Amino acid sequence: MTWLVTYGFINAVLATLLASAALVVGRWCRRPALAHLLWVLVLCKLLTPALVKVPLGDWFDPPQWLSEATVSSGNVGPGGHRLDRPWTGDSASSDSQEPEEEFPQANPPSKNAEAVVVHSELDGDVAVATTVGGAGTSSNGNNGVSNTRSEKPRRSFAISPGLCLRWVSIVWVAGSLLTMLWLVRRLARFGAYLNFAARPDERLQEHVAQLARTAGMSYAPRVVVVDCVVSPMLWGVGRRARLVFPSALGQRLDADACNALLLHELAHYARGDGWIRLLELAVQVVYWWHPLVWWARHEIEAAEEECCDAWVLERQTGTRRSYAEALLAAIDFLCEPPPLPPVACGLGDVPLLRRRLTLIMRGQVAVHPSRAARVLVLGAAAAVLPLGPGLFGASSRSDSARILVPSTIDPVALSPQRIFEIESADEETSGPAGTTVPTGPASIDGPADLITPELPALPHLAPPSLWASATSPNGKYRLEARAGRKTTLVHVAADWRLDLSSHKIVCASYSPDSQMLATGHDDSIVRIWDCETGGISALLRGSESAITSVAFAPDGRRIAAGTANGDVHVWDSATHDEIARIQLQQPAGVSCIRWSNRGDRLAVALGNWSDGEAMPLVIWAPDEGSVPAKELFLDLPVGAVQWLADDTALLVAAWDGEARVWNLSTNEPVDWLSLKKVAISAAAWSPDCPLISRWQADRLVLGSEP
Amino acid sequence: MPRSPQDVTEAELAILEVLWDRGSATVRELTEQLYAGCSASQHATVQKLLERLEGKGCTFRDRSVWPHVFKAAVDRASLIGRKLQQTADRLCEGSIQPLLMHLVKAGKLSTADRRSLREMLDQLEKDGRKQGKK
Repeated sequence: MTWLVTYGFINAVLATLLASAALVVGRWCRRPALAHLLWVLVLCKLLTPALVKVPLGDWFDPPQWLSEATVSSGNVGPGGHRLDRPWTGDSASSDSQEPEEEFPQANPPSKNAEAVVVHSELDGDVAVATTVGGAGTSSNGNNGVSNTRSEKPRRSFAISPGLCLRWVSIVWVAGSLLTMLWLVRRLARFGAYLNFAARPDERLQEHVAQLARTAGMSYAPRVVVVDCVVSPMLWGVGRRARLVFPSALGQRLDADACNALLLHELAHYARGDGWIRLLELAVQVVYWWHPLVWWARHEIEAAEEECCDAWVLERQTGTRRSYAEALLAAIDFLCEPPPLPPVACGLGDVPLLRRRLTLIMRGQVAVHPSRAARVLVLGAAAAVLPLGPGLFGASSRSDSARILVPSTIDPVALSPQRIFEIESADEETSGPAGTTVPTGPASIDGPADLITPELPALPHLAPPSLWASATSPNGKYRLEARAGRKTTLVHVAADWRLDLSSHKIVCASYSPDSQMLATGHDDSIVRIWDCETGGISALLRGSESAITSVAFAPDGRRIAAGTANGDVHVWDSATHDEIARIQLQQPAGVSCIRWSNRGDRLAVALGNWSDGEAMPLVIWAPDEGSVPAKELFLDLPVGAVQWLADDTALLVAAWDGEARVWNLSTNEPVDWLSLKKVAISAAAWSPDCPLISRWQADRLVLGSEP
Repeated sequence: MPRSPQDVTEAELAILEVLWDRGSATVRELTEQLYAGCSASQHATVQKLLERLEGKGCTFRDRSVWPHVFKAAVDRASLIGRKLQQTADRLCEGSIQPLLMHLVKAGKLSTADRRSLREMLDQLEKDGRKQGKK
């Protein structure tokens, strides 16, 4: 619902700008017909959605609160795809968070220390501010394993812009509903009044019909007379319109004056002003709070009256003076001191009446706008009505480019056991995760269980390439990775989306129960997300360099992470304490770390895709100390690994697509495969994107039994 | 100068209906007709309503007899006309009533305003004639 506020705000601003132009035309150019069209355009702009976003570029910096609010409340990028709060989830999971703790400042803040506002905190009531950095770490020098407490994020209880927007939306909608009820009630009461107090007059009806035919109209409205002191008026639209004429006024005026006043009401009918009233009604309901609506109504009606006066002057048989006198006679009729209560038709608009009478006597008003003016207004309407400024996501700033593309991936087809072939659009490159764009089909023999997700193209923006998609074990959530470290967490069933791009996720891993998602980041922190609420539930600290790979143990009790300096850390997933660490003392960082199926060992692949240098693959049992259990010396730079065949073999894949099945007993390769580079990148990115499916893994031939 | 009658309430209208039907009635007769009884509080209520109606100029009290007799000072048609006019005034307010197009929204123009408009009209006609001669 917050998109309503966003679009409403944008439309209100644009309409106000249009109103300025209409005001100039109406007041200074003295072209009431053109002014009428422009004011109607203003009302139309208030209602038309922004179909085409015009990027404002870097020169326009939306207020931070608005940017944060629309992101945290889940609003749009340039594609116009709305993003609402993904799921209300279980607020208990955020409510049950442990009390905030002070970050121990044992050491001065590291160079990475900075305040990071978690935009994706979705309980909506608080903005979570976390301070990141190297604070709080210490080492007891015990074989590289440190007893380090991981700190909880500190909460600052500022009211989030998302909450404000939500309340604004609620008040807006409530106001619109009340306004609509009020207007409908007034309509009903007036209709009831006419039904009770008004009576048809056949003679007058025939006379009006004759006047309409003379004026070139094919249809005349129904005519009713009332015995009250009211202004002649037209009420309603189309065939249901009624021309209301006070009987007492008709008795006071001569034929020419009566005809002039009737022609005026017929002018309204011929021009279709009733439909403009209907438009005003709709705009009033939606923008009940905007003074522009009332101002526009006033200007439209003033322009209408002047145009109708001109219409009458073209068709009446009397003189301009007689028409002006008829108007004054109607005014006298309305304003005479009564035996009756005074007419309560609002304050008299003397300036408007002066203007009308002046224009009548001078005959300077064109009934219709010129052809050029009509073309101009139509062109302006076509150009302006569908436009909206691209306030968000239009600049080149990477942290604000949150482009969300709805996916048409069939959630049923997704499972952790499947490999996703990504539709290629660009040339193939061989880079690390997030930079490659795949081409060509997979080269694995096996059933065609490769799913190709189709990304709809936006009319004005090319969608960023989806290169990896990790689905939780229960299939409920899906983490999508796109070029530029743009990451989106999707609630598959509800298709809710949470943009995590600002966190620059390097790697990710779901817990076995699918409740949590662990992500690794360049700031050396592992973040634990609550998938249900979309909020961060814990930060795992202890690493001194960027996290490059992360994996939940099969039992969900431990989380392992590899770092850019070749260390491996293991945390307890319940207490968030670091329980094991190994420093591999290698000249390369960890590229991929994976738990064995039994959860007792870790396969740690080292190496960097860019230098192509072959590095050893380390097997480490965290429960057995900080010494590697095995080292495999490979002749290829390993990108990703996968445990096979009851932990007796490893599928080791290099960045260039070459993969080997390695028998851990004989330390020899027993099979060779060729995989897609993007699959390797995806597998390195998350263990929930396995290199091959379980079916395919079972078919691989092992060299020998352990 | 008679005061302009104000809007009558439903209870006051009920009293007037009885007076229109009967022509005249005392307080007791009105109470018995309206409440099918004549308790002290009901009597006091009717008396209060009659005082209000008298203040609005809708009833007339004949003090020459005892007990006082009340008669309606306005006829049904006039009162209904007033109510309709008041309803029209409320409903025809152009800035609020949707789907309504007035000929003029004269509102509460004073006599001076209307006179000035006429004078302006005369001036414009004179100017028009002068330009026509030129």
